[in-house]
Amino acid sequence: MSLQPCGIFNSNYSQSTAVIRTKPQWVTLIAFFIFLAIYPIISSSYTLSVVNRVAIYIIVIHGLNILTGYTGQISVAQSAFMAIGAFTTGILSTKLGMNLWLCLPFAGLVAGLVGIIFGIPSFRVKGLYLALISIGAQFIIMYALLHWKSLTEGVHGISIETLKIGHIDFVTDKAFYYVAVGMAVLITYFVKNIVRTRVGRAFIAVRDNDIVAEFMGVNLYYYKMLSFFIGCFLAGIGGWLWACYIGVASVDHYNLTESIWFLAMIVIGGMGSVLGAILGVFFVEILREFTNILGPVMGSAIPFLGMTISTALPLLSLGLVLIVFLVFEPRGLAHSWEIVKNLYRLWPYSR
Amino acid sequence: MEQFLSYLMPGLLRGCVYTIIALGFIIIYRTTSVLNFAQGEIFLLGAYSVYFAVAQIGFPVYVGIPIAFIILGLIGLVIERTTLRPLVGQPILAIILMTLGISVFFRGVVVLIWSDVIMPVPTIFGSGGASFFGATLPIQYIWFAGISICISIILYLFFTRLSMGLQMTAVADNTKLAQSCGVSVNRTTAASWVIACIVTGAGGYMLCTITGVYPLMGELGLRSLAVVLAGGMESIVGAMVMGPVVGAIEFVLSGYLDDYVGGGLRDVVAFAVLIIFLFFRPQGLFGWKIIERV
Repeated sequence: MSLQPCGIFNSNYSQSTAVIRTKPQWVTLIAFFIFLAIYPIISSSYTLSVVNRVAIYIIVIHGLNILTGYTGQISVAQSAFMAIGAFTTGILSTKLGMNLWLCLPFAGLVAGLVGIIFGIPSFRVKGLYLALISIGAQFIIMYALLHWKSLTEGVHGISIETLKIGHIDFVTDKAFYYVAVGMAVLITYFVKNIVRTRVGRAFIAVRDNDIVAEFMGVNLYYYKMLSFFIGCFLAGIGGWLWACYIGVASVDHYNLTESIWFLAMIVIGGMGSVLGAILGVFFVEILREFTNILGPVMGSAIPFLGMTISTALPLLSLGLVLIVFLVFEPRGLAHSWEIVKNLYRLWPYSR
Repeated sequence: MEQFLSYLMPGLLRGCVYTIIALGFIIIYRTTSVLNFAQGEIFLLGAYSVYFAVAQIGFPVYVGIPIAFIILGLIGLVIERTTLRPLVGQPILAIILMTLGISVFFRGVVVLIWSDVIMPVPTIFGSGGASFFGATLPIQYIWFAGISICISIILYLFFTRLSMGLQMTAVADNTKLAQSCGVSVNRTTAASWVIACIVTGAGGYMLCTITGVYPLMGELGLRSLAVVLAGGMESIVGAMVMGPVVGAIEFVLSGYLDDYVGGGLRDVVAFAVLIIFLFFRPQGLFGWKIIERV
């Protein structure tokens, strides 16, 4: 709970539950939305492609954050559920000829239902064992997608036509930006509100102490399944976006390392915080982009390292960042931001 | 029948390597209740460090292998000291993520130093085949089985007879009580990491003498999670029994079914076993049944 700005007092209930409380906050928010709306006009296409990826990942990470950060059910299979979303889109749109927009809910639903299947063991086991199940799920799902050739085309993947409404084509980065960022904003709104309500409080209770939670009247099974469903549903939505963005649903993007990147995002951002998820995605994506650029440069500048540095550098930096954050700032960037915010709100009495 | 045996025997013997890798998991889990997901990469480092000492520096094989295992032990010590000791008392999630971070980091190191091509690992097991119940087996597999049984027995005696092993079990059972009885938790934890790294590395070295070593082999280390779980997270006997069983299931199933599912079944059978056990018997066949309400 962060402090209110100086001189602001809540005098009724709706004020105290408001996310956006003061006029300057409203102004900042509206200015931010205006900035988002005009951003594609002022930015280069390269940064736009990075932002599109960030927006897609934000959706996926919100899902993982609900599942792992809020409910405490560890999942190392988020990228596999993303793949399910992508392949559902591919199969429905090519085999059944469905409109891509119509595939969107199905991508989420199928991923969510598969998520529930792999979530069933959470009735009996927790913590470590659940992480094992999700590792198994990651490998089994990817195996099925790779080898069920009649349905998924195996290694070639399913190519997906471009996303369009009427005659408007969402094929360029600039056009796709509005789809991706629009959905990211909507889903952030949805997630921010879900974790503030009864459902979110139940999730947190399950995470913090499941026995007490059950004693207090939280239906453990229902909320665990709900959390698996929402987490994987959002992964499926992310998969839909990703498949539409790159125009193909193929297996090579969704491996175990990608799932570990996703976990790194919520750790770095701060688990159990909506803002943290967003910060984490930004931090990690920028880091990844940076290492992708730096790798070849280092490889050619320092011949001793050789060109393998360009594959090794992202892995090294991911491992190091994860280790450093877990040792020194386990509560993530969101916590650091909270400290900074309290500092300037109390200024000049803070130090 | 002959076909069945030709699938079964290599599976059983190769499963012995899974036993060794699983023992690495178990040693660490018994003492520190950390399940080390970086095991796959330590498995890799085992093979790579032998390759490094023998093929790159040029030690004779019988000198190079002990040196490689000393390096591995040091790596284990460093991992424990720098990354896991600061996390004592943190939730299990942080520890799982930490071992995942370590695994990714070491994969980066391996790719950086040795790139991602397949490298042959110098072998001491010779080659050739031995006939066994009508099935011809590579002679290495017989070695693996022998070495794995030896290591398992030594570790079993270590944990049940020697003071250090008993201390480790005590720490696993109740850390605070063990500490107040004069057991040095830091020392036992460090020792368990060193032993686990050496044992796992030995498994990695043995398997990679057949296949050659490349970074993706690390996923093979994760496959032996199925052995750990099916046998029971704390049980050395469980790993001894379930290693060959899981290996056999892998080989037999993939032998019969690969034609129908498009190949590669061997890569996922272990994970299917893992999930089935988690559904129906989470404590494994030989594990300590700890009652924990979920």
